[in-house]
Amino acid sequence: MSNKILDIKNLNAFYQNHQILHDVTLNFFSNKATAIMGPSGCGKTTFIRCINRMHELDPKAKVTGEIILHNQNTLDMDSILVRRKIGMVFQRANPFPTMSIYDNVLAGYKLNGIKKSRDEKDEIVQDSLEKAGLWHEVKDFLHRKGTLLSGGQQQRLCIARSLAMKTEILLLDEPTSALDPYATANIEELIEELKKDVTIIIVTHNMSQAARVTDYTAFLYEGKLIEFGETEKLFTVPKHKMTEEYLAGRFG
Amino acid sequence: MLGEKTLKIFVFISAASVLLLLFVFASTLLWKSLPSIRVFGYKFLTGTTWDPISESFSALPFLVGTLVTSFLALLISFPFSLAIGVVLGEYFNTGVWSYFFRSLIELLAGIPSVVYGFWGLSFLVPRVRDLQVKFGVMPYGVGIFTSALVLAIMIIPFSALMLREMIYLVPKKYKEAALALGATRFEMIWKVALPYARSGIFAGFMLALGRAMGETMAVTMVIGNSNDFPRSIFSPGNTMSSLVANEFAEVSDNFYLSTIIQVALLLFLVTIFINIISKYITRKLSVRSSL
Repeated sequence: MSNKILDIKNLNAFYQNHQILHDVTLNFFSNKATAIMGPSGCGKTTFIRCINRMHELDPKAKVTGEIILHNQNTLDMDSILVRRKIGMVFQRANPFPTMSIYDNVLAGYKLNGIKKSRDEKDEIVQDSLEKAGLWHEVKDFLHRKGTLLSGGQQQRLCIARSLAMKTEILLLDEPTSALDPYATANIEELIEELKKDVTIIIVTHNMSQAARVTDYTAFLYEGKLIEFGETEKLFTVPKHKMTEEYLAGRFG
Repeated sequence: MLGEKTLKIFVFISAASVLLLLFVFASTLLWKSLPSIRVFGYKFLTGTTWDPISESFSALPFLVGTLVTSFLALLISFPFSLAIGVVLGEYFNTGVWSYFFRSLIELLAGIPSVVYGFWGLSFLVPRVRDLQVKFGVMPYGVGIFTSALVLAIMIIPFSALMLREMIYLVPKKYKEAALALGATRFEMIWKVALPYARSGIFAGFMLALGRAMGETMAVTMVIGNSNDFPRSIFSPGNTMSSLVANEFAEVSDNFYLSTIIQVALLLFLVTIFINIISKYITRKLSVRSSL
């Protein structure tokens, strides 16, 4: 049986007067990959942006409920500390264009003003890039701009940047939606590898991707959690009629 | 109906006429200053006296005056412009109040320079004089430093609004990437947004510098119009533009006129020089992002 790492209870998210998430309650298990699936506008992205407290960056946004990480409600913690523990990779790769590949990996430390020795830095860069499956492709030109890489490589650089901060949880917001099939397959293989070190939460509206790479799946519809369970079971014998219809492609 | 071809010819002629105008402008300045260039040669740029009575003319005091006042003004305005740009570009970038403050700053940019000059004369000059008494230097009140202060105030609206635009236009994906790594808003601005916008920020300050160098009226009113070489930043002095504006009315013969036109030519060349250099640096600094 896996360990719970993140325990979400009655999560509600609002934007101005509009409620985006309604009483979402579910758990994430450590070193597993969980898919957040659902049609456009169902609140998938808002949901993971609540987890690393990015949703509330906009003063018009509000979040209630509990997100428990190591017996602490992250909603009561300093949001800066939460974001250092929970990394995020965005829909479109966004390595910093002013920084080299090397500096991009270390961006978290640089931004937070954490000083490291040269050896420590080299070690973090190599380790993170290896984990992101990018080391062999870039090791000879670490000091070139990160934006010169291909789209798929840039996305893996962004993953390395999050891993470098020793994050425990990695949020992936449709990380392959802007990539070609080859780069997508690469990222999907990588997710399997990454589970050794981190817990993965991936937003996707690609059902086959959810089926291929995840252990658990949550199906959201109109801001409500319709069904949550092991991916294999949810895809083969969905309990809820709506899940079944969504999987059959009847809406969404 | 205008034919495609006619329209094309018309557009080309209009565009070319601007180039022609620039050429005519530059060559007139050169032509009219030839008598002075023939007499003084490069000494026009190295001597330190400007004396119409003995017909000894050199523009160095004014070249220095222009460069010192405008760079000093840039230096003084820098922190304020940066702060305004950051506040209105990031912390307070949308909504009615932000718009209100932006409009207020635009209003400042539209005040005629003679008003700034008069304000400088009646408000800043006495304050600077008090300061000079405290420092134990000659309490002129007017001078290089006072001009730089007035110029700084005049250029803040330009560079601040330009900076605001540059910071506001930094793509959200980079700002979010920084915040998601646990950066504070300030760290994000300092280490991601400003480096990203650096070329635009530099261009904004160069635009402001160009304005400061060309500004005539306000400077003339507070600089003291002394043709001696300025000994310190508190000395009275003259800039190239204020010299041209002042002495033009006193011209007694063609040769004197020619020397003044040469000062104008010099100002023109210095402006072009600064422009080319800043274009070059702006390009060097620009972020060539492939995504």
